[in-house]
Amino acid sequence: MTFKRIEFKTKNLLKQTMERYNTRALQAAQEGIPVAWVTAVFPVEILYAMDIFPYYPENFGAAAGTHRRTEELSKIAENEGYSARVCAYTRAGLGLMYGFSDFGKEIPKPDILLPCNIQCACLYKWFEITAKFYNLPLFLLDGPQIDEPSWEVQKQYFIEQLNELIGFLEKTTRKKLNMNRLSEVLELSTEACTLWNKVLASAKTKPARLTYWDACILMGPIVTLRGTKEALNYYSELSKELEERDKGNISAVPGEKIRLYWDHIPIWPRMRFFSELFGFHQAAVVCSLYTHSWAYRFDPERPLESLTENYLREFVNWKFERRVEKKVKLMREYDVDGFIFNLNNSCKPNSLALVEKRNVITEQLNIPGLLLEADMCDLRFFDEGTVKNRVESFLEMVSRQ
Amino acid sequence: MSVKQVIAEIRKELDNFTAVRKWKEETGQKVIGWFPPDVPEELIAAAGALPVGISGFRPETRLAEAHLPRYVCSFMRGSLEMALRGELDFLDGVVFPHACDTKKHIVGLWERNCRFGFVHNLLFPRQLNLPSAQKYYRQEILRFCSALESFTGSKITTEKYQHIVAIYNQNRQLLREILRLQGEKQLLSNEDFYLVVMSSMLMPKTESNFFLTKLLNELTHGKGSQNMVPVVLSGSLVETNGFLKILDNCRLIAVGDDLYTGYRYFCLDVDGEDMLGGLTKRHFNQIPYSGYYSERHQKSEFLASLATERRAAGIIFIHLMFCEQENYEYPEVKQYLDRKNIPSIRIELDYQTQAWGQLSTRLQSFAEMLGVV
Ligand code: SF4
Ligand code: SF4
Repeated sequence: MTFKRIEFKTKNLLKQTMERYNTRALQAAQEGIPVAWVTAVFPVEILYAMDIFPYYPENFGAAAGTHRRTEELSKIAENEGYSARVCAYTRAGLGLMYGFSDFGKEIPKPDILLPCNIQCACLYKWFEITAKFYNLPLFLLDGPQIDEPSWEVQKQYFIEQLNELIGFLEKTTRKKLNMNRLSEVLELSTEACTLWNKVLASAKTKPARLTYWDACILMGPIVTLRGTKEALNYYSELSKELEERDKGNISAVPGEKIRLYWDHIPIWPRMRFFSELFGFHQAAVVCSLYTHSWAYRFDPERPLESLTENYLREFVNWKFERRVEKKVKLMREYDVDGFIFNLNNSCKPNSLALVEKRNVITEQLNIPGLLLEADMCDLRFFDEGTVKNRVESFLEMVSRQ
Repeated sequence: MSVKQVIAEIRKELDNFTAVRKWKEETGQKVIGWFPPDVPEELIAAAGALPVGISGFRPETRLAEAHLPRYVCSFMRGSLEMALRGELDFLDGVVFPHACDTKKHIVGLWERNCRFGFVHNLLFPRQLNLPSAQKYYRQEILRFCSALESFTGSKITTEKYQHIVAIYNQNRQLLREILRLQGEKQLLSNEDFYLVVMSSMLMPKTESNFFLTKLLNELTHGKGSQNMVPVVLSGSLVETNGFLKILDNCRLIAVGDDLYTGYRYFCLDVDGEDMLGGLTKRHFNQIPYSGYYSERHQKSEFLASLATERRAAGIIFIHLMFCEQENYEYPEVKQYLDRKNIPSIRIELDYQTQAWGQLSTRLQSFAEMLGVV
């Protein structure tokens, strides 16, 4: 293959930022900073405001996938009685917990576990197992689905739980939440999200300045560090770089001919394969609800309400129709020629209705959609030959249209 | 009349949902299907509709497969298949409790493909620890009530509710008594026992009470055999053919369970005097379930004490393939049971691809280990 991804000049800054985050995570214990395990969709701003270190074990799951360790770790979990059909992030984390005594050296051992079930039940189940294993306190933040038009009841429930969460944190960590500090963090978080979305929007231009494959790597700080100055710093540098790319008319995929939407999580261990496969065919994957998830806008004047409005109304928490609407909106904005949905063995909640959604969207937008069947991490559920063939014939079809 | 005759009568009522169709024809009222677990049927009935529990397994699910990925549990796959085939054409609406991710996300497919006039998402709290949960549960109940009332056009009055609750409580008492006798006399096969439980979900409760009373009468006078080895079942639900037949052949008899088509369905009565308080109390005192997080209720302890109390020789986990939340809980529960020297076995069922022969062999050796001769 001849396609070569263009590196970012800010690559080192990203590396440093993430390394610092990971080192700090592992050092926190020594410094007496409490470490909380959190899920991706969790009002982490509260933790930053309380100087509690939030660690995202999902990142470990993704990294295990990228470094092709999922199978090895999963087998340990499978030996313990977990099925190979549960989410691979959780299998990796459980494998590490059961199989490696130096658990705390690779990922920080939590002091408290703070799952939120807006994304899925898998994460809180994993956290629950970990909490029992180490005998640690856990707080489940429960986010019922939004069933509009009547979501007032759910909203009040969530706000009340945030208050309970704060009480729980204050009790377990003996730290006090300062509301002014929370407002500051919310502002930082909003700014970082704004910058992040500006970064993503540079794939709107034709040709796109970055691809989804890039965004999956560049999103590290918005996931882990939103609400901190570091995230802000990195994304302002990155967005400058993208402005430069724009001025220099640099396209992420030289000779871009096709623009595509990819739904949700990439197949981590084969990111490069995909990026090159699409690149080779001059196809730019320009958007995904996955990378666009971090688009929070908080009102620092009404912290808890605003956290609720943002987190409870995350796209993953909507019903079928609204989720389709969100996808369609993004596809329109980025003017794509087709889309790819992966029936992810690991992520059942996000792929359960994709077959149907593909049909609905194709009908609405009159563009084709490809269905793949693979695991996001576990290559035992990935058949490269089949995937390659399917992608190639799909791209051929798109370019004919 | 013998036990066998009563069972045959019940079976006839369930065949092609005869009892439900008859009721609908006679009353002209609406029928609302609900998915287990924990939907307060009493409210549906008090709003003038007939609640019907949906559990469905189909060996072949061609129609559903056109809409679903492979990794959906047989229950959700099978019930969608039934709907798509028109077998649930008597339903006017459905209620989905968001007790697992699969149920939560399959609703959209039902809405699009089945076109019921009423689809309600019951968004019960999935943590049972915090004060917020109880408060929210009450709010969700009220939201459910008003949705029901506007669909059926009939108010849920205190009188109606209390009348319904009395009938429903009686139904549960009858089922509990039948279960108790199973432990004592083992007069019903596993297949028949669970058919009886399910029959209560599939006919008007007054009719169910009539049959259950009749059955109980026979059981009380019947002589037990006691040649089967008692076990406890754990999982979400069982279907009456397939697995239970094998269990019968292996001479193992269920004397307790935590299934939503079993003990969970009838273990707790509600207090009719205070609607919100009564329903909340029942919900929060339910036996452990993998879909809810609770610090107080541990499945491991619950199962161990159930086995002891019911004098079961072992526990059989019947998990549906691809049911993640059950699987996550299993290793910890299993270890706990091992420590307590309670033998257990886990089988993963997929009604569409099940190798029944293999399963039978495994259960046979488990039975032998438990002392079935
Ligand atoms: S990949 Fe899906 S199932 Fe796994 S943790 Fe993320 S949201 Fe949950
Ligand atoms: S068996 Fe499991 S996955 Fe299936 S409906 Fe029940 S809880 Fe959900």
